Amino acid sequence: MEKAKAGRERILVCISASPTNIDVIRRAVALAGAIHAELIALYVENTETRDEAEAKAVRDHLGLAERSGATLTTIYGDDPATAIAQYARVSGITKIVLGKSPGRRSLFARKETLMSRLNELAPDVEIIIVPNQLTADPTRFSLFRFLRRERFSAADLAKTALILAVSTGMGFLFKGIGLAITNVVLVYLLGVMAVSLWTTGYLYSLLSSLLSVLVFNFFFTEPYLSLHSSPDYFATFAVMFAVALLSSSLTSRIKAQSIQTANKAYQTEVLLSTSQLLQKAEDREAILAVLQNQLSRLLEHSVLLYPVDADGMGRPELHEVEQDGGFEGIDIQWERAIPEWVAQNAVHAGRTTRTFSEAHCLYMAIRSGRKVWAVVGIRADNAPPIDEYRKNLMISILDECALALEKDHMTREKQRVEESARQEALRANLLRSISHDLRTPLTSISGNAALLMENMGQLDEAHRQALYASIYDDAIWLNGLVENLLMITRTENGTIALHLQSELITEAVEEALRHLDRNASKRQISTAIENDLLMVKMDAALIVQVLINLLNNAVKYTPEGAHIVIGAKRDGEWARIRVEDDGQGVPEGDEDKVFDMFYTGVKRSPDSRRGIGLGLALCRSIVQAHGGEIRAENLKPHGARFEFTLPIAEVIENEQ
Amino acid sequence: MSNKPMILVVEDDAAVRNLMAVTLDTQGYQYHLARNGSEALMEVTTHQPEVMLLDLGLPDMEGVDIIRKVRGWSSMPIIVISARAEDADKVEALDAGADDYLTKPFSVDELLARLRVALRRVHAEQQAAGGETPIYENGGLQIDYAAGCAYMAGSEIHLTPIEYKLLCLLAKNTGKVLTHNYILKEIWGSYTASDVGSLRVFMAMLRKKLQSDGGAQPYIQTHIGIGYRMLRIDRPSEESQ
Repeated sequence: MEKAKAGRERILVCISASPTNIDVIRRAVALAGAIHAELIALYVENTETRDEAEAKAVRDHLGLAERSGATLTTIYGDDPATAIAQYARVSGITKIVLGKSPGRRSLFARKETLMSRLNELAPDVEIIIVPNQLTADPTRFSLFRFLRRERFSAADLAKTALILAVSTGMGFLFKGIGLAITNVVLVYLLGVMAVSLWTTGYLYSLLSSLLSVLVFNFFFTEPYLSLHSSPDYFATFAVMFAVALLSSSLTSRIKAQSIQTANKAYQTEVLLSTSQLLQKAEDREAILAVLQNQLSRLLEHSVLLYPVDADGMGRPELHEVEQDGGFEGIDIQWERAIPEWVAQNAVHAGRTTRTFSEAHCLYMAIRSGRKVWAVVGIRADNAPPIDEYRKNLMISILDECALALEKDHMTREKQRVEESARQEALRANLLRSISHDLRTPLTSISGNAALLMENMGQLDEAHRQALYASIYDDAIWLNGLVENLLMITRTENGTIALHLQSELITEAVEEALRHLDRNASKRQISTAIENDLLMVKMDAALIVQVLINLLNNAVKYTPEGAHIVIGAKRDGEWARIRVEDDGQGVPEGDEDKVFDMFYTGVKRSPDSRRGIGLGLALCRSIVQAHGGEIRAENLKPHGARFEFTLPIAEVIENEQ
Repeated sequence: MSNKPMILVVEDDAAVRNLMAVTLDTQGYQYHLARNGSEALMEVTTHQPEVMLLDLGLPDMEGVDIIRKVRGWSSMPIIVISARAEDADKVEALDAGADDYLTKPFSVDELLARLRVALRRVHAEQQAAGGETPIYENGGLQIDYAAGCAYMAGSEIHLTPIEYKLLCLLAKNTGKVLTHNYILKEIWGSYTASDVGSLRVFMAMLRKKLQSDGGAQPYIQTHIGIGYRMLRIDRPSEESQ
């Protein structure tokens, strides 16, 4: 949690179920508005059982606070004063707004007011008390209200009766073997503690304390089998009742604390496992999948998820659990307007909220600031409402997920920027090389043509033929360059859109051989394809271009009369295609560098042979896009071999 | 001059149009020139050319639309001209009813060779106008449709049913480039990814059988990424692609 920034006040308003709380929230909002402070609404959840009406009141109050612009936080603690003080200290709260509380309402609690305790625990925080304008709730301390909160259950009643009976039985046993009557009292006390341990609520503890005294009186004090007893025992009864009641109250408290500890441990575990899973998740989809999984496991509700990006809301991902019947029979599409609204406004809506409360699902935005990354929908119409404890956990998970999504987004954004910078540099480099290398053949073409036009008469046939051939060669060379450039535009952004089809290698080789340089006819080109029916998955146009580049490369770097072999063979799941020549080979140590862009073999001199080092670089990106590899090696005694692999396509022959 | 074939050249680039005009002129063909789609359609209706050379990148109309319109009333050969990077356009044009394609930059020899193929198809169609001939003859290749047999230089070629179907389909469209999709639809009746591979294999087998029986002459031409074509072989070694 971040510390308070200098100059900016942070106001904490405490949420409770009390009807006066609405007024407190409004005052806090007004105050925050007046001094431009940040408002935090804090609800302290504890182990006290609350009824439906109270839970609803708390939800309503939290909703009101959120709509008023407060940040919601829920913490756990049996003692609100300590919890609030601790929270205020950690998160740099400067003012706390409280309702005037009538004190704690537990039966055996300290009578100090929240305010004075807070004052003691967080002396540096200003505490503002909003006077209670309503009269205290008349039912607040009535027995009726206390009983209403208690849950009656036959099982608990039976347990109480059984334990009492066992205690009485043991009492008779003790009495039978002549032990002092005080031992019987202790047996009953033990019974009362057992009751408070194994039943829920104070009622059974109270009941068993009372009954223990009565039964003890009935069976074990003179006169036996009568509720009359000598005044000597009154003190025993009183002390016994008091001890029973106190110890049962203490036992209940220990039990409540152990439940709280377990809950806390569970919360920590869930959050920890969530953050571990989120850290492992590599992309947005994985993060959202983790979220959906964790949420539906935690809540046992079906969860649906709409990813949100720049184009708006995507298609929903469903994650259904058996407990609420999944999304069977629910028209999610019909409700789509609600998550869209949530995505736009970055607030919660749907079931259990004030907006679109007739919906089947509760929709919540996963957001950081105003940026919504996704909208999560939780089916909430036919299952018990999500308790505050789980709701808080859920919100923590959503926050964590939002953080992970933000991080992922930033990483991708950074990658994109880096990639585009790299592309930009590449493009600039490419443009420089091209403009240089286009001029050379263009100069030659225009010069030769001008020569032919102006000096037609003076040139003899042989000279003219030479000029025609030169123009033709340069034009063809330019065309080859343009072909490669076109292929490079297809490989832009580092990804090549492949039109993969099963093709015979022989056919691709035939096609490539049709498009070779004119100089190729001065070399002896032969094919050595192991199997005519060798078929691979390829984008024909691109692989033909690879073959053309490799063959033209071989032609370019070998003397006239050299031998060039184009071969192919199967090697497991791959086809190995090679172009070999018996020329000078690749410069020693440059076997890998030849595939780099703008590599042109020997160091360039102004009158060096043309070539801008695009061909082999293009070959490598095309082969890699097909999932294959390309490499160059020198042959003994001399010559070069370029070899690449492509995945074999298996064919089901479909003869009818 | 009136018995010379009439060619319609549809090309928006003046230099290329001029090149084609000069080429046709030197070979003694009659020709008309059109600079865009609407002129082309006008020329087709008024002069009824025998072959159309159609550039796919016209300023006013999609080349494919022109093909579809012309195919509405005429079966004259259409040769489309496009750049090599646009395989998809070529396939679309062929599927729309074009017979053949030329890739820029093309050589003059190539242009003339394609033109001869197209004209031969016209003549073959005119000769066969009387009705379906029961025997197909092309160089050394003979197909007896009635008997369901194929012969190369007089001896029978042993073909599987699919290979025979393929051979008949190609023979009936001699001179025309048939796209993979078209062949798959005609032979298998459907198009699935696995069939593409088997089509390649059957075609390779068929080509092998025709070749091994009839010497070096290629009867079936492969257009990788596009389709196949049966070439008409009149005299030995006239066609050298």
